[in-house]
Amino acid sequence: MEQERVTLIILISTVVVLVFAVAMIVLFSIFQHLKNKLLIDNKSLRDIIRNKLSSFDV
Amino acid sequence: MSLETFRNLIPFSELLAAIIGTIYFFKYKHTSLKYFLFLLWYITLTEFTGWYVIEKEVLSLIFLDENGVKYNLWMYNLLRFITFNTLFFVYYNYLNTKMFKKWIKIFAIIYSSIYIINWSFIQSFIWEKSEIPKILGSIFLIIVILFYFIESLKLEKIVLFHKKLLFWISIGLLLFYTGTIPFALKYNTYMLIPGIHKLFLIIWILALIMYLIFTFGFIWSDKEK
Repeated sequence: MEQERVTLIILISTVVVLVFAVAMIVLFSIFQHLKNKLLIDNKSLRDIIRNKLSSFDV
Repeated sequence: MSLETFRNLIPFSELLAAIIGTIYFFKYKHTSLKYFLFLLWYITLTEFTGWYVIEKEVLSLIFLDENGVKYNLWMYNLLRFITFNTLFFVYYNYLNTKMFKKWIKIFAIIYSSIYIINWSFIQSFIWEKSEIPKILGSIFLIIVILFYFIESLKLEKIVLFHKKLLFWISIGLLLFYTGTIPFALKYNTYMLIPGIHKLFLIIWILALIMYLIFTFGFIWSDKEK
């Protein structure tokens, strides 16, 4: 009885904390991916503007 | 596969991670991650020495209680103390944000103080696993890993995070140290319940996963700049 109770408590809490850890890793990966994408888009946008501006200069 | 066989796989997974880490040492030898490799070797050495002194009954390194049960817990208590402090040191040197560095320093000081207080007044260094410092160290380490994630997200440049060694180290540590917190609570009490040892399979699986992630990280990561 005691063994079952302890096993259940430990199992449930382990699952909870592991879900938290995995969620943290997944969220970090998603945000990092989005950030990289935004930076790449930003850079290409900057390049377009720079090209446009130089053509205006001409 | 019996439980014991599974348990015996862990030192070999540590050894594998340490060997692969040494082969790819050139990738990170100029960064603070080199201390992580030293730590891996120390963990492997402790694991094999711990097993050897029990098997061969090296009386100068083990302690026997009144029932003749052999204890080598002091090795693992010392290992844990060094492990957490080394990990704090690695992240401290790796991160750049001043506030995060300050907090890591505070965590290391609190952790070390609690460990010493625990040894001196609460739990025996020789006969018991240190529960409170383990829980505290794990929580601090999770926060420190969060710092690393936050700093990495704040960097205004494209970061190929899956090519960073510290990313893989952080994932391995995060899974292991969050997953083992529930086991550290009242460990010395519930470990006496008959049949409870089957539950330790979870810790062993998490440890195996952690060392395999480290090994993968050493191979997969790019050279640190």
